[in-house]
Amino acid sequence: MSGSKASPVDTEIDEETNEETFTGKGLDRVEDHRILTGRAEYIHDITPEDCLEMGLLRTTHAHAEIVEVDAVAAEEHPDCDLVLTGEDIAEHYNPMPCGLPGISEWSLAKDRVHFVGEPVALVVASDRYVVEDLIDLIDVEYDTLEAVSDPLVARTDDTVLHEELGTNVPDDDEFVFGDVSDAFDEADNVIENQYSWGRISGVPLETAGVVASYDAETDTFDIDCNIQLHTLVDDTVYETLGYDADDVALNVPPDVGGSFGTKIALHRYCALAAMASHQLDGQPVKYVEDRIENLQGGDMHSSDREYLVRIAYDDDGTIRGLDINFVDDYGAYPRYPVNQVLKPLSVLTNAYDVDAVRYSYELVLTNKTSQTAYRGFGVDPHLYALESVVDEAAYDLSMDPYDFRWGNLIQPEQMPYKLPSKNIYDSGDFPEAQARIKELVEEERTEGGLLDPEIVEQRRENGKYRGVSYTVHIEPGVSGADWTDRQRSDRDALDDRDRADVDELPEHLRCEVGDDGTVTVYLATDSSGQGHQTIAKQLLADELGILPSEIEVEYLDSVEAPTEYGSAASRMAVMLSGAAQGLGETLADNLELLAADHWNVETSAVAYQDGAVEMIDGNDRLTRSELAEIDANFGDRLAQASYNYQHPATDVAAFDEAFVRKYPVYPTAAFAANAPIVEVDIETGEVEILKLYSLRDCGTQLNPTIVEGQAQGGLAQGIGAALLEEFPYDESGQPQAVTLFDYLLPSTKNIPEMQIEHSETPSPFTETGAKGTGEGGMIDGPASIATAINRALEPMDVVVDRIPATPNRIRDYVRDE
Amino acid sequence: MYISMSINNSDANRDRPTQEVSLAVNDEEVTADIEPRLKLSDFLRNDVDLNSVRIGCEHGVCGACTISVDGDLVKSCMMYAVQTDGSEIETVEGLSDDGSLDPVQEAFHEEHALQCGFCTSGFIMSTRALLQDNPDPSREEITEQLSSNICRCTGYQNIYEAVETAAEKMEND
Amino acid sequence: MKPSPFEYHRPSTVEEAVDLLADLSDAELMAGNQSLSIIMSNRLATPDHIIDINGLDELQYIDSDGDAVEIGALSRHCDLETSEILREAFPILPEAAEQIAGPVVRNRGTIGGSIGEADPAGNYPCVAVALDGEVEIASSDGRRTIGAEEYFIAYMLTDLEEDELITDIRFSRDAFPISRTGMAFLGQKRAAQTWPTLSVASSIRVDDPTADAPTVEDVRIGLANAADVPIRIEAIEDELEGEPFTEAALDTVGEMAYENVEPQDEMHADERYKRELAREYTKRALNTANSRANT
Repeated sequence: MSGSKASPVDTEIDEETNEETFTGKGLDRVEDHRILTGRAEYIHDITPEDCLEMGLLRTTHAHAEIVEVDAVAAEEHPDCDLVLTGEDIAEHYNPMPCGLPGISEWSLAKDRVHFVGEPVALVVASDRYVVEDLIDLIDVEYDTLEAVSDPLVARTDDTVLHEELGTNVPDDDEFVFGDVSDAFDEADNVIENQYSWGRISGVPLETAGVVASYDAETDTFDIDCNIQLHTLVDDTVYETLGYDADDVALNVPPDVGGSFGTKIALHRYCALAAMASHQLDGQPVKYVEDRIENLQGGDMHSSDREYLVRIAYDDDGTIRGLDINFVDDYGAYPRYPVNQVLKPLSVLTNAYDVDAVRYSYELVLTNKTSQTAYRGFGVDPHLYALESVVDEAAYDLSMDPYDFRWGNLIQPEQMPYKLPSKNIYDSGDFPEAQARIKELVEEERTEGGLLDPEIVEQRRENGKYRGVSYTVHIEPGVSGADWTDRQRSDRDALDDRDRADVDELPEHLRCEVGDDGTVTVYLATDSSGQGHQTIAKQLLADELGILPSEIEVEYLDSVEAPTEYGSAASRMAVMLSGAAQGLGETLADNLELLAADHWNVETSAVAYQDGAVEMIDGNDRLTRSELAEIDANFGDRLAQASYNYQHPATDVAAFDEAFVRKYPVYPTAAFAANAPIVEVDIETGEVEILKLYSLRDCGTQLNPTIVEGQAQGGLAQGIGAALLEEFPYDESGQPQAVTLFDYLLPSTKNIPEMQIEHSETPSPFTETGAKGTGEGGMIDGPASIATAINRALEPMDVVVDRIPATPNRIRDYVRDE
Repeated sequence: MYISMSINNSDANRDRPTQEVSLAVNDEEVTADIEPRLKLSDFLRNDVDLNSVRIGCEHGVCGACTISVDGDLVKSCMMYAVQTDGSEIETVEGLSDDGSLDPVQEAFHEEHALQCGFCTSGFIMSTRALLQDNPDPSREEITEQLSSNICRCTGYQNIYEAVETAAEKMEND
Repeated sequence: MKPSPFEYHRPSTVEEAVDLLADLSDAELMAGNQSLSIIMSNRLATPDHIIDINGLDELQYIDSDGDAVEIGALSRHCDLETSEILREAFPILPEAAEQIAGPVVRNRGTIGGSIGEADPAGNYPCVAVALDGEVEIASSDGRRTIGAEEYFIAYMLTDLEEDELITDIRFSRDAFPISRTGMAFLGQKRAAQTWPTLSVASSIRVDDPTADAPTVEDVRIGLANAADVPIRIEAIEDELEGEPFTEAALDTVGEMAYENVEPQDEMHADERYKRELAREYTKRALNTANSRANT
């Protein structure tokens, strides 16, 4: 197998929809119309009859013992329907499953609170206004404890958050790939530096919401929620309730107002609303998180890391070894995404060919809200730390960082390329990408351009320093599932593990043919703006030879769907296309069987063609609606199909080593070469991105319009992370950014013009050649912006060592220069 | 012509004092007995069933609840419904009675200027207001006008395109 | 984020409004509601009565005669932003107005509300302090006028009594003849709709803009979010007045700004950094004001 060659892509969208195939075209999104006309139904819009509202009393203490919760005044109020405290729920239900063993987390704090915003009691009443009145009537007495908010202090265990655990470092690991000691001993140079990545998150515009109904007759729950990965994380809800998976149906509305990974951890809200409905004999209970709850204690912050990185390199610029160590502050409880510390192993050396790498982490608990996932899943800080130390090495050798990087890139003939950490890059020409992005920016160096040397010099005289960097980044796509529980496994046993023990999750897709011939396809994943319905229609239309308009898309709840991974880790383009292909074939086979049975002939005498089944001799033809009618008389067996698409890496023996040892498996390597042009005002520290060039390659594009949208949106989040966004805490554990006045989301005023070019290097591992690209710019934006600032401030020898690079921090670098 | 719609949510309010308001929402007359503390955003969503009014922050930053009151754009989470007695209110629902799209909605669709869609109503209202005052806005003017709205998905590139496409459509109308 | 119950009152005259203020206990005035609604939603304020003054049409005006500009307290930021009168007579006010939040907030927020709230980071308060603005206040006992510098007492504390209502903000034009005066409002606002980290209001009057090196006659410099109240630094004004404007003098007054402000650490802007911003923005604002004075 050799890496396929990239081909440039015409980004103009072909609007024609009556062509032969739909996949690969910029088909207009089918999701749009209902949204544009205000008719989309998000979770906030779902209010069944007689629905009550729930609110949460949240603590303002970072760390305290609960002495007493006095809810009498609230309970006795005529408007009050229900109050539950931690004690109450502990009587009837279970703690929430944690990401690591040994800790009990209750959905309402029972004895102790561990972070500001942790819910202590729930209140149910007719509407949210009344609920908040009642919350004000509850008195909680606390004994405050010392809080720890600095992860580097927390790891000393002077103040331990969870006594049953006995430490604030519930998980750590060290990986040594290749001969790291030799590499560092023999290299001409070694540099070490620290990098800090501020606590950020996705902050989708739509906050969490849930509507739960208990059915006393069947003793089951129906829960509507904008939770992400509802078929995968449903255990966090049903186990908390103490019910079986089949008794708790989690259903996600077709429209979710953004998630970016953050809504994976909404189980607390699902469980509490369900408990409330349970206690109220099935009356529906609705909860909508408000923005302050969301920012402060909504269990949705993400990576918060302190890095110590060493790089060994020779005088000629060859990187000999890397030594990457970090502490990740997970907040009060290790949640589902504990494996965010591991995902960087899938892109361990980014685009560089380095054999000897040490990688270690400590997962630390502090008195902050718990981490969830966020677009990039821990890769973004890794690439930032890595590219920063690469800049320092280049400067140390007085080499142009472009040349330094160039000399270390993985070459196209090395594809597929196995990383020291055993994941495999499928295809791509990284040197070509780095050269191409530089070529694109060259025009800015001509007269009047942003980098016209004369203008650059003029601006510099006025204290405005311009710079551009060229960096290539890998976006690991299509995560496997088996490795994700590595931290809950017996790690010592992994070296001898059998390949047969690897348990991957397939992508499930099913469909049925309706009376009118419409094919309804059921997705087992949830969507939050990525256009899955459009993609599913495109793919299946091509497979079945029918029009997208003849296909309807619906969603399965957690009971109807098998356990599967869903939309995370840039998976859906690849997994949906594989599943659609298999589903199309299965349905065609089923319809052929049905027709053959009806005509009483062998199946070899019939053929599925363009949406109908024909006799090969041309004598007869059955349309889909006729077939559906026939099937109805046979008991609905064959005018439908179901398919489970196996994870593509399971077919590639080269991944076996990663599979058995539970190293992150990400079989597609989308890549991007970025060149942000920045200007730094050295007197105020303000950074402006003047323009952002990006060359992106996600293999075959299923829908270029959607690919472009993902690229632009990801980059915007990357810009926010690089310059604006952060959730700092003070020493006493008080959160400093609990409104959008303080957690700064990029607006039109912060996002520059983007010039994005696409190339297509198909993946040899996937059905369509597509690679995952949902995370993109959020992964590579921060690193590339930081390195561009480094270039701008090169005369002052600055390397940005903290993200976000706020004006204050920039001044800290330059004021003494 | 006004179609009268009367809302009585006094059950929910029990013994707390209420006040009657009468206003025109998307050309329909609405009268309701409401608590003074009821936010306009909650009133429109919960009592008038206008779900296009999205609640993203309730402190005036995100812009998802942006609507028009008496011809002015406002963030409806920062007004109380009781203040709009006698007012005329327009929301996205009022733009497309028969399910067809107006030029701004059409342009947002064509330019892929929405992903999750939660911010979209606010952007549509802001864009319409901009183009009413300024049929051919510059990029800088679009930047200023739309700085009242946050979109977390699109990175704004396609929103600029949509505003410009909408301007062209409206000019050709 | 839902407010506590309150009773709602909507007077239509100042007289009715101040009578309500006199009669009701625990009443809060509501103008544009772009800040009050937030603290009420978080129940940091739980007034029993809200007096909505949006019906006081008599407070919605922007006038100018030869002596002064007068701005009714209910004038919205967008009114100031687009006022031709102000663009000509007092251009710093539109410049300050257009930098507040985003355009939709500016459709509702009022100058009276901003002066009443007295956030030290607010744009108008520092303009008022720098340019000798006067605040006219009404109560059921009558009306009074107070200079802006005395009005702002301490962090978000003003001379306004509980039963009083701001009716008017007035700026004398005496010191600011259009042909010889330049004004500038500059600040750092990291995101479109957040509060500024620091802002500077400045004005410079020269004796003769057509001269080669005109003498600076009058200088005003006010800073927002540089102390617990909006501050004016008269030492800077004295330093520049009476001499032609020079770059060297600008460096000197920049240092004076650095020394004279009393900022607090805040997230992403520590005290030292805010001093540096005060230095830099003071220089830039004065430089802009000076070049405007000379054109």
